[in-house]
This record gives sequence, C-alpha cells and structure tokens, in this order.
Amino acid sequence: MALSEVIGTRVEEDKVRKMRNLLNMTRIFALVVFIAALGLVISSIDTSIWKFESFWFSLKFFVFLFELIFLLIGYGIAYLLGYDDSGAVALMDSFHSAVFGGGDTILGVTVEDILLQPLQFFSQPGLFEPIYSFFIIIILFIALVAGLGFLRECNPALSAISFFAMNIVLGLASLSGKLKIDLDFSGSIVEMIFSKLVITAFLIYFSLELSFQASYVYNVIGPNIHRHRRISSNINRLREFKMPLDRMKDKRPEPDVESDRMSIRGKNTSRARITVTTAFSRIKGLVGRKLFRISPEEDWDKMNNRLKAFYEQLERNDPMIGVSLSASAYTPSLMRLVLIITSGTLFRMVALLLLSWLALNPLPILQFLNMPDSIINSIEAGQPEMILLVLAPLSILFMLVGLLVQFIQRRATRRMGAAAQRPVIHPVSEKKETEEGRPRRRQRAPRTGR
Amino acid sequence: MISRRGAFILSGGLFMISIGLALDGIVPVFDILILVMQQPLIYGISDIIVTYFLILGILMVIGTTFGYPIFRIQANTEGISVQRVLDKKKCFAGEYIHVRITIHNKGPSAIDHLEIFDAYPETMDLVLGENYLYTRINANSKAEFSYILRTPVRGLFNIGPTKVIIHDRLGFYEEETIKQDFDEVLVYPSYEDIKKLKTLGAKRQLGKMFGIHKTKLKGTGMEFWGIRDYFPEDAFRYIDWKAFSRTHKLQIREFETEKNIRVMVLLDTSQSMDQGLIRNTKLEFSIRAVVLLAHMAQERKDMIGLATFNSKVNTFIKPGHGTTQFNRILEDLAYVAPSGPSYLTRAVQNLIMRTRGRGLLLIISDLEGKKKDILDGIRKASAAGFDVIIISPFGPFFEIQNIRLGPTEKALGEAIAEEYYDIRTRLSRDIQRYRAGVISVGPDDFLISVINEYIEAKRRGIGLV
Repeated sequence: MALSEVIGTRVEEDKVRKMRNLLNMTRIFALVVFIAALGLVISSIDTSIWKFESFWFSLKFFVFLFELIFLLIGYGIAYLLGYDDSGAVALMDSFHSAVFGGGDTILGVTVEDILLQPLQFFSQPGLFEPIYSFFIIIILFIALVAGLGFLRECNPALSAISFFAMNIVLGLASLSGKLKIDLDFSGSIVEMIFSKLVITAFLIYFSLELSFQASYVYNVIGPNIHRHRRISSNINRLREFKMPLDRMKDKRPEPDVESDRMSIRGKNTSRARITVTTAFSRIKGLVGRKLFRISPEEDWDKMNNRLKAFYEQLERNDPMIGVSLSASAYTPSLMRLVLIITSGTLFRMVALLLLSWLALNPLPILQFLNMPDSIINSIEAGQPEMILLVLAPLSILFMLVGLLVQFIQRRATRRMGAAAQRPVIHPVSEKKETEEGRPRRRQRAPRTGR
Repeated sequence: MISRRGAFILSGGLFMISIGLALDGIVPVFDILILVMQQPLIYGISDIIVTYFLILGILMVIGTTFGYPIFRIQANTEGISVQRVLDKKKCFAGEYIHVRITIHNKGPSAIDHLEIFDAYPETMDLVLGENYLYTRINANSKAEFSYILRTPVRGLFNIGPTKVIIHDRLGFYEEETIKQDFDEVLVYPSYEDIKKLKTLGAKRQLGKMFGIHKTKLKGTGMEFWGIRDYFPEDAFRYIDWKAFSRTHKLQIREFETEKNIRVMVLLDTSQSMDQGLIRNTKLEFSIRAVVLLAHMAQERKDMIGLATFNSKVNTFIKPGHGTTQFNRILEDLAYVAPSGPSYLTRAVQNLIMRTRGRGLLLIISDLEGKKKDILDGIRKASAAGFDVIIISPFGPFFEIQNIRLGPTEKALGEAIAEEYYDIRTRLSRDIQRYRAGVISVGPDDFLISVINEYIEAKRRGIGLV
C-alpha cells in the first residue's frame, strides 16, 4: 500500500469520525431542547388531564356516536313511514337489539331517552372532559413519537409534526381551561424573557429550529460519510480485483441456447437471409456469430479489469485521487461548524426575542414615530391586532432588503460579464476544425446530459 | 428565494397569528353565550392561548423573514465558479473518462450549505465516485470532487451543465442556478471488434483455430496460387495450356491477389437506422462494420472511402489508404447521429460527381426509404460503373433481439417479420435487375457479411487500383 494512500485513508477516517461525532452532538442538543419543550408543555397542563381511564370512556363514546347516528337515521325513516314517536322508538329499540345486541346503548343510556331527548345526554356535565384528555394524551404521544423519530432519521417533517402536535395540545388544554400558565408579563422585555408562556413558545419554536439545524448538519455531513464509505470500499475492491483465471484461458465460445430457443432473432438470419448475389457458407456465418457476438450481459470482469488499469494510471499521476473521488477532503471543518451553529443559534435567539418583543409591544415604536398621545394611549393600541403594526412592515422590510441585495448583486454580475450568462461549450478540438475548415460540426447539436 | 420549508413555516406563522386574532375575536361570542344560557361555560377561550399563538406566530414569521438579507448576501451564485477538467476529450467507446470538478467560492462570505450537481449524458455510466457534492465552503476557498465515467456509446456528447444550489442552515431559503458550461467529449466507435479480429489472427498463427480463417486470397495477382478445373465462366487467359497439353483437360491457373482495390462505403444515417435496442441499433452495428472494414482495408493497403447520408450527403471522405484515412473515417463515424429521411438517389448522384474512380460500392442501409428512390439510386450507381452491394440491416432482427417475449408478442413479432420479409424479398428482386446484390443481415452476421463482401471483392478484383 502506497504511503500517500495510507496517509490519505487515515486523514479521511479521522475526518469521518469527527463528522459523526458532530452529527451525534447536534442530535443530542436537539433532543435536550425537545425534551425541555415537551416537559414544559406537560407541566403547563393541569394534572386532571392525565386520567388513563378516560381512554376507555372515549372509545365507548366513539362507539356510542355510531349507535346514535344509526338510531337517528332509523328513527327519521320510521317517522317518514308514518310511525308515531312510541312506534318509531319501539321499532328502533328492536333494531338496536338485533344489531348491537342489547337494550341500552354502550354508555348506558336507553334508546328511548336518546331518541326523544338527545340534547339532555350531551348537556350532562363532564361528558367531554375524558374526550379532551383522550385527544390530548394521543396528540402528546404523537409529538413524542415524531420527536424521537426525528432524532433517529433527521427528517424535518417529523419535527414539524412534533411542533404542531405540541401546539394543538396546548390549544386543546386551553379550550377546556386546563392550561396552567399565567399571562405574567406586561411590557418589559425582562419580564417577557422570564415569562413561562414566552419560554414555552420559544422552546417549542427553537426545538423546531434546532431540528432544522440538525437536519442541515445531517445533510451536509451524512451524505459525505456514506459517500466516503461507499467509494472507499469500491476503490479497495477495485485494487484487489484480479481477473479470474478461467477468463484468461482460451475459452471456446459456448452455443447460445437462448438464441436457439427464439425463433426470430438476428442469430437465425442464415435461415432467413435473402441472398441474391453472394451466399456464405454456414461455417463462415458461425465464425462471425461467435467472434463478433453481442453478449446480452456486459463482461463485468473485463470492464473491471480495464477500470482497475485506468484507476491505477490516474493514481500514478495523482496519488490523492481516492480522496478526490470520495470528496472527503472537502467536508466542513468540525470546529468551524460547531462555532457557526452555536453563534448562529445564539444570534437568532437574541434577535428573535428582541424583534418579538418589539412586535408584541408596539408602543415604543409608536413613540419613536412621534404618534400623538391619543393614538399611543388609545384602547386600540392595546389590542392584539396592533402587533401587525410592527410585524408586517418589519417582515416586508427584511424581504425588500434581501431583494435589493439580490438586485445589486445581479446587476453587478451582469455588468462584469454579460457573456458569461450564455451557454459555454468547450469543443473537442476547436483548433483542428478551424484549421481544416470543417465548420459543419459546429452545426450539429450535441446530445445533452441528464 | 424562500424554499418550500421556509414557505411552510412562514404560512404556519401567519396561520398561528390568524388563529390568535380569530380566537381573540370570538371571545365576545362566548360572553353572549354566557348571557343567553345564564350560566358559566365549561369551555372557553382564555387570553393566554391568544397571546401564546400570537407569540408563536410572530416567532415563526420573523424567524423566516429576518434571515433573508443575510442569506442574500451569502448566496451569490455568481461568485461561485465551477471548473471542470476532463482527463481526455476523445476516447474510444468502452473507455473511461475522469471528470474533476473544482468549485471556487470567490464571494466575500462563506456558504453554509452548497449543493453541486454535474450532469453527464445518460448514455454514459458513472462507474466510480459521485457527480454531486454537498458541502460548506468558506469565502475564497475551493472544494473539489471527481468521478469516473464509462463511455459505452460512440458519438459527440456534452458533459454539463452544473447545477449550483445554495441553502441557508435552516433550509428556509434557497438559490439555484445552472452554470451553462459544457465540455464536449468525442467518443470514437469501439475498437473492440478490431481487437477481436487481431486476437483471431494471433490464434490462427498459433494454430489454435486452424481451418477457420484464410489469409491468402485467390485473385488476379502474379503470385501463383494453384490449379483447378476449368468452368465455363472462367476467362480463357487463365487457362493453363501447358497442363492442357499434358493432361488434355482444361485447367485454370489461379494467382494470389496483389493489387489493391477501391471500396466506397455509403452509410445511411437516416432516423430509421436508429431502430433497435439501445446501444445496439442498426446504425451502431453499421458503424462497427465500417470501422472493421476500414481497419482491414488499412492493413491490406486498399483504398477505402466513406460517405454518410440521409436526405443529403453529410460527410464525404474520398477513397484513400493509410492510418490517416482510417482516423478520418473514425472521426466522421464518431460524429454520426441518426436523423431525417433517407434519399439514396441524391447521395448516389453526389457520390458519382465527387468520385472519379469506380470500384466496390458498399451501401449500408436498411432500405426503408421510398422504393422508387432506392431503385433509382442503385440504377444510377450501377450505370456509373460501381459494383454495388447492399448490406441491409433487417429491422425485425434488431428490434426483437434478446427480448424475452410472451407468446402473443412473439406471434405479433413473427407476423411483422413475415410482412417485412415479403417486402424485402420483392425489393431485393427489383434491385437484382440492376446487377446489385442485397444481403439482409441481423446483429450476429452483420459484421462477418461486410468482411466477406470485402474479401470476395478483393478476390474478384473489383475496383482494382
């Protein structure tokens, strides 16, 4: 094994190990934030939600809904057929017994009660509480599974599912009055930072952003790791490849069984050939058939042998060709990635906190814009809609600045080299063609790539 | 611009804000309900959840928009230069090409997530390495990757363009550009058949395939070959009168061929010649045959020329000999691409005008043009003094080769082949009237038929120089 090869392999292996560590580190970081966010969500919900017996009730309730729909449709049909209330109830009672096998519904309500006074059942207190619990637990479970699934696969779609699931949980809990968070900030940025509500929202959002960061690291590093492994293994196999001995022997061509089976194909042209002036002997035909035959399958050994020779020639010219093929020398630096991710995340956190505070408290902006007191102190200024006063212009401003930068860049590039915008084709031999005066080749449209 | 992920988060943020504001808006509805029902509701909307959704919405909207100017400063695709270096631009079919891509970020800032895809023709095979790279690239630095392609099919191909995609770290934005930078690669027809022929020659020399192949040709030269019985079509000048005086039997003295012949190949490159299995079309076989023929003619110092035609003559190489001539033929064959209809008459007329010496005219065509045009062309070629042989790839043999057909398809294939066969028989009979021969060939006897025609012509001394 050549020294350059040894050094190259060692450097690559070291890099791959570091990359794998970074990837795992990012995953662990995302896991910590995700668990913190999930913990905050769970701790924000009233403990009365965590009733696991509500599962059974909810399942029964869903069966009951089917029963109800069945009974109401049947009742309606019976009524249309001319039955009075008591007759329709009796008819549905017997139908219910036949289908569901019992007099009462699954929740213990009689058929008569549910048909004649349906609203009374639904207005009983505490009916929907177990159903809420059921949904909250199920959705929280989905959030947990999706979050853990993301850590395994680094698929951002799973983290998005987890993110929305946690928000739905909070929404459902709030609807039934089970959300135990106070609105504990008024206008101060410090109060806002330490508010549980804001921390919950931030953590949930940042778990999403961090999952995107982890996905980025996975996308930048993961394919390179796989590529390095795959190509290194291919190169090693190529180096070790030896032409099988039986290939080197003088092997007489074997008769093509397949061609004999098929009635119509080129091999049988000696039978079908329309010879007018020249007839070939059967022997000559056979020689041609064996000598220039097209093998249905490529001769892989021969191709590998040639590839090996080609690779060895490349390696003689450039000893680091293996590194170039596996592209492992150009994977991002570990320390730099850590630095970028940490600083970038911190910068985003601070910027988002500040900008969110500005959006939530438009009063400083109103004062900065010298708005009259009547506006600053108005009731409307305290309404939630006022967030749009800052949010909308701020977002549009960012987009416009971005577009402006793009416009300037493109204009500058266009000025620098308009010709570069056109397709450039490096011909095979421009010199030769102009010398020989054969411009016809220019006119040919070359076959384009995929 | 904003990626799908970015758009999803942005719209999610707007959705959250809308929900927050909507929930805030419907709080009075709950107040009215309480008034109507005269009792507190179990379910309601609190200010907490309204504020929560608003905060989350704000975070999502600002999170997706405020990084955009920074991304735009970074994502200057024009600052990325991609350089492609090929180890060779001309090669034979079946050889390998090493493609090295160097990416240079000339911009002032690092690019967090860069994707580079270099396109290669679909007829080529990627055998080692990958044609893409995902990486992070610092300002004013380079990245490099390479891959090896196999070129199984001859022709003129373009490697490129290169697609450059820049993402931000969170995947909220992306910028894509295609660098329209192509490198032409000329792939000559495969040298494999010539190698096989040489191997056969070597084997014959070693006596391994004795009796299969003959080297010396009988013909019109000066070197004595042998004596055989006279047949009525033999010329009187070859009768061995001394032997007759001894034996009272007419015998013929035969000589080895010493003189060189002139062969002109007229290759049909019309669209119909593109039929057949991929990489084994009628045209590809025809080209293999021409390469083999050119090589044999070069070795035997015969003159060989080539004209390719479809609706007009596309390339023309007047008959000549030597390595240069062979290389010229190879180069012209490499550029051949099937297109357009076939007009044999025009091609023959052009050929008659451009060539003085006559000899063997080997027309390689599937004869799928207009019958009248084909017959006119052959008539004119014969009238002009060419000894015309038509090697005609028979369509059905190329299209159903090696395909495992079901019984129905097989029956259909046979029916079509029968129909083709009848048409071809009638056409062959018509062509025969102009003293031209038609040999319908399939993939397996294509090359050997061409070689045999050449050997036969040499034996008979057609188009002696």
